[in-house]
Amino acid sequence: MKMKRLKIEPIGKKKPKRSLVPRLIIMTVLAVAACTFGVYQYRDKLKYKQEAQNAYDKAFYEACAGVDDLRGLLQKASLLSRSEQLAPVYADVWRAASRAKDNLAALPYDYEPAAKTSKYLSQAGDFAYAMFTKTLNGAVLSVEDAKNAASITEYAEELADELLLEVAAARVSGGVDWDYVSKVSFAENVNSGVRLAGYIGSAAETLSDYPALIYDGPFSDHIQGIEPMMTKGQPIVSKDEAREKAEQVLSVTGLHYTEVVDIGETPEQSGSIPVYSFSAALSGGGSAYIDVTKQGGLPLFLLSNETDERAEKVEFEKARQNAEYFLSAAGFTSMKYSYYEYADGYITINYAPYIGGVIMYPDLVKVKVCVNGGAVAGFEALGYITMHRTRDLPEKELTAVSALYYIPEDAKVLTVSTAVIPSGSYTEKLCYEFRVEQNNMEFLIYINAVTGVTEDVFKLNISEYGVLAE
Amino acid sequence: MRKAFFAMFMAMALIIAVQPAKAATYTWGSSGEAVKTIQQTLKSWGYYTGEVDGKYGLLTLEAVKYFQRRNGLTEDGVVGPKTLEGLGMPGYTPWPGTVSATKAPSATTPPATNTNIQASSRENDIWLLACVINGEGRGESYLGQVAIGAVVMNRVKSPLFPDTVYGVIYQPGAFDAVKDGQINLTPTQSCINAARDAMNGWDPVDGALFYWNPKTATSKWVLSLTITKSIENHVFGMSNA
Repeated sequence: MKMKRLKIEPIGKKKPKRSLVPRLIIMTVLAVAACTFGVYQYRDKLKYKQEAQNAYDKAFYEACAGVDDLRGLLQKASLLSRSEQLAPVYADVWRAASRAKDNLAALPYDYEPAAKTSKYLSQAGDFAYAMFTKTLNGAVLSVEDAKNAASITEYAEELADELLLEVAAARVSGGVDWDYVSKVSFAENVNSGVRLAGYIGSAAETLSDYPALIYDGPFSDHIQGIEPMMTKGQPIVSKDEAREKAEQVLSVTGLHYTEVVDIGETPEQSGSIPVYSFSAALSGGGSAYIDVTKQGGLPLFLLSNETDERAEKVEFEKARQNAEYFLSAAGFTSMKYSYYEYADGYITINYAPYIGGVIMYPDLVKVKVCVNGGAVAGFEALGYITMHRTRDLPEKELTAVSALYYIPEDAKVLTVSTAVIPSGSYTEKLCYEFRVEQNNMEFLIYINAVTGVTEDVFKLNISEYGVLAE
Repeated sequence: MRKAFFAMFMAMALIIAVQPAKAATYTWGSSGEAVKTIQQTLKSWGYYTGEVDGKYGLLTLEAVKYFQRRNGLTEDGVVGPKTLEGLGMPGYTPWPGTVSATKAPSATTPPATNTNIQASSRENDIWLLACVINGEGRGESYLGQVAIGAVVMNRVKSPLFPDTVYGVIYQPGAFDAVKDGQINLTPTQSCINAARDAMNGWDPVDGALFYWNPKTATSKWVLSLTITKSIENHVFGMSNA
């Protein structure tokens, strides 16, 4: 008897039969691709890590060498006393400090060690430059200078010792792990007392009791805490009075604004020029922002970024007239313009008071005028509020004609005027300003009207974008 | 199983494909061969009447705006990717930047390193400052943008920080936008204007050297700083020491 073959069907869903092979091939191909990709990525990562590591190593060794140089040069300077011997040494000190500072700033330290070392090196370089120009002019160092030099030298010695220990630590531990250093916190490092290769925690710590230095340079410690001349001793105005002032200033700008609203004030006991802040919505959708000082209720700045594209374009002369109308209406009188810049639809013009035939450059006010329509879109009076006062100018020792002696013979003098110029550290110099031309370039040369020293030289950059001094 | 494959494949494709394209822009203050080409094109189409001198000045600005207005582009005077395309010059690489991989430099399109070099180092500083403002606060108000620029400028003037705009911006760890690469985005016009105002001395934050977001800042050190001003999402301040 023939058995009938029974085909056994599975119960439930029918499944098509498929080979595993194509799936395996796809899986293998993908796995190989992923691995290859991963290997390449990893190799790239190592390469970039090594490049970053190398750049940090170079900056680190340069910085340490710079500080070591600084120490040696300062020690040499303390041996010498004649100005012609000191001038070249201080020029080298200035260079060494700048080399150390630039390179330290390229390293991934957190704020405190970076800032402490940066401040020391800024002052060391700045002080060296002040001593360099002083000795170059034949002057000898004062008692105060010698005291400052001694304390800068003392700290250079300590800092150099610490940094050279860091280098030694890096050498014995097989280099610096900059990735790790970038994650170290100063407070933890100082508290742990552990010397971590490459991390300048202990070096920065030596600078903690570094004394304040006073000298004639922009980083001198006397500059912090200077009280603005215009607000000193003035009564505090109320917020409403300040708002009125803000309204009044806005009303002479030519901007179309709506309501002036209060947007805050400087917190109690903070800030060097405490202010009330206001804003006003402009017709085009943007806002104008204006700050008024609490003491004296003076307008400090106005900022806006809105220009009416449909309005007619104004020429420079018209922009200047609008700026000058604005200045006198806002309370800045006898202002004369000097430089200006044409950019991005605005003309920014620099003004300084012109009093008794003398331009007071430190008392700077900048006014920004829209090219479209000519409205005043902004002004900035920090220089004016900080420095403006009635000055007791020194007696001139030189006439303009005798000052000509210091002007290069082949330069053609275009104009001569008298000006007060700022010199870095809130000191000022009374000068003759000679505008001269040479090789189709124009320059401003400032000759001290008392001493005859050439205080500054600017190159005028005159183009279709305006007149700027460099 | 298939879904897993697909996801893996897509992930790999994404990793390989995500290489953001940089866009070139030319605007007021730009100069170089690219600007010459722009001027030449605008002149031949009757938008520009000035000289083809490779300097992006007032007349060029007017011509570009006129071109943008007539062609339905955003009338901002900035020759960006769309305007370049409209001018028949797509694929120009930006300054600072590298030569585009997809388009080799030819005689008419010199390598990017020679194009659009700004007129002066001052303009370069303003551009870089605008890039930082853009990376850190393109969503802020104009006041907030100038404030970020002012913090950079205050650092340049401070002995606690490097002495140049470049030194301050590229100091390791100083700005998040430098860390995550957002500094390389093309800045908006508002950021460029804010950078110029900050460079020209506008300081709405009273000498502040730091800013932080009070909602997300947790560091004890940050909370010990003296606040000089609050502007929208940022608080500005300086250290007491």
